[in-house]
Amino acid sequence: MSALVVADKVGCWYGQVVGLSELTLTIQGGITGLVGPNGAGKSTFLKLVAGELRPARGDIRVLGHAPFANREYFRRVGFCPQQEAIWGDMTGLEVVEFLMRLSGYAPSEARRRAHAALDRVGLLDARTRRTAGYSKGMRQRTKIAQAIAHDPELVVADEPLNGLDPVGRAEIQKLFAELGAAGMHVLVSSHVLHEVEALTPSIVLFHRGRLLAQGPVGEIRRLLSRHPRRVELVARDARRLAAVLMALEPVSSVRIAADGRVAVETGDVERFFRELTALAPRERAGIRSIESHDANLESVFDYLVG
Amino acid sequence: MMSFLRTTLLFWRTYLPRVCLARRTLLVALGCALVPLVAFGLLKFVPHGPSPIEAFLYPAFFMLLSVLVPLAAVITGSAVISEEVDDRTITYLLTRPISRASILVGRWLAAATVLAVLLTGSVGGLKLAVESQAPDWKKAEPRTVTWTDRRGETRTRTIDRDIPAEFLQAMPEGELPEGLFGAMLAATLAGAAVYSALFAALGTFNRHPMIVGLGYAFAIEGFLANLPGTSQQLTVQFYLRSMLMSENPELWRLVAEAQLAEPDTTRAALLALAVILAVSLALGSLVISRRQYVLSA
Repeated sequence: MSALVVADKVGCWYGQVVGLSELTLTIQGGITGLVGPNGAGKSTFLKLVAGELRPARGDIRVLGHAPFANREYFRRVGFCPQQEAIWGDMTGLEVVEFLMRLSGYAPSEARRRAHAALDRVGLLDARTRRTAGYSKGMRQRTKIAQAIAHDPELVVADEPLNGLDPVGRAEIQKLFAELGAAGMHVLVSSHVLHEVEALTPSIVLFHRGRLLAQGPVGEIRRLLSRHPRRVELVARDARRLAAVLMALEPVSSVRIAADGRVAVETGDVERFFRELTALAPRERAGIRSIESHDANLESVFDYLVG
Repeated sequence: MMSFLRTTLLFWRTYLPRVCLARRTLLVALGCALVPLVAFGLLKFVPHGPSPIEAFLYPAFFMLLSVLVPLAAVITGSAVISEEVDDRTITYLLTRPISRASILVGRWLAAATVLAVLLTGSVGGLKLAVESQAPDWKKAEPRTVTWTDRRGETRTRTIDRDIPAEFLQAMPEGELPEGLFGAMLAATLAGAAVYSALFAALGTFNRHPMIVGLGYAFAIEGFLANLPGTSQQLTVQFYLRSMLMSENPELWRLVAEAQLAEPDTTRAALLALAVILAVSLALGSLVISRRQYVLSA
């Protein structure tokens, strides 16, 4: 099978700011998640894939096409951009229908497709309301509807779960999974790893405009679990707990704070939690709460890039 | 080509109602309504004011053609592309399988249509206002006013106004001279089309086309168009004035002699305006077809 996206030494700048730097990457079909903190280059990459931007250096091919301003390519791709903006004086139905007309469909077919897509994202009941009165989540759904309404081969979605409530997230994740199962390629970005993880095992990590890692999510997770973490525990008998924890191999330091919290530093958080689960009932230390810090992506990425 | 025309028509149809309901259109409509109201007020309420023909010619030249046409075109034309960029909705249009030029041309057509309707209403309203008051209009008799100044001295002054005979004889039946309204309307519509295309094209590569457009229309053109000599030919105003001068040039010369250079023929003026319009749209189409618009999230 030929690759979905082939990027060769792609560079993209916004004035003096680097969007992407010397990015060489191949993405196969299916659902692929793009993960990275804000400013990592995910959106720039997706804009290049969607044909909104063109690389300042290097070459990018998607479905065998150079995407920028390529009309033949635009028939095969649906783009859900990151920005929330959508025409506020139009109804959801009018927005999707208008964009379907621009995709070349006759009025009746454009309307049928708009209805179907809005139904698919759960927005059929609100279709005749102006989008200015939509919630952030509803606008997000409208954006997704216009990206999938013409049954493209590839859907490019930039942070599509932003602004959705937990139920909405689950629904949209299910939708993307269905699209993937139906043979559609999906490129979806997020700065929250577990959101992407719920969608696909195949992820690409970006950091500061560069490719950091690419592969199955399990591999990446294992890499992340070795990132030194701080875990805080509240226990009835803090001193006794601290003494027991000191003896555990993955624990590098234990400190009792003034408020009685036990602060643990570990280099292998997964093993630490396994051993903690085993010792907690045995030692009867009365653990009341456990909090894991430094788990945000930014710190993990900083760790990964050394 | 068919696809381009179809998409352009779709943009025109989709954006026409939106342009009609836009706040900036309301602003332009207010400006358009002001012109006939001023003419009506001058004839109705100012005893020693202008004659009916002057009440048409002065607002038509100094308010409509010199100010309102470029101003309305800046307001509506500059929004054609920059509005989509500012609202960050242009992404949806640029990632569709359409000719990018059709976005510019279709949206410009919608803006130009609304402008044409409003400005036709303004010129038509001006004609109606003048012709409705003309039959009852009589040159006011000179009036002597007497008053006492601060030092207690009695002073008198006669209020009268010399109106050239050409003006007094211009509307014997209370109707505008033949051809005057048509030439004024044609110049106004041509000005709206050309200026709006110019400012729409400006919006394809400039983030602040309204500011730059206002600067161009009222600083650069305002200076060049009123400078004696051939530099007037570098302005849109020159060609619009040439179209005006095709009918009743003797009347226009009485109104704005200082502003009028030797005009081109109407045909040459129309040709020049058509070239400016075509070049503006072609340049704007070229820019939008090649340019990448970087939007923030």
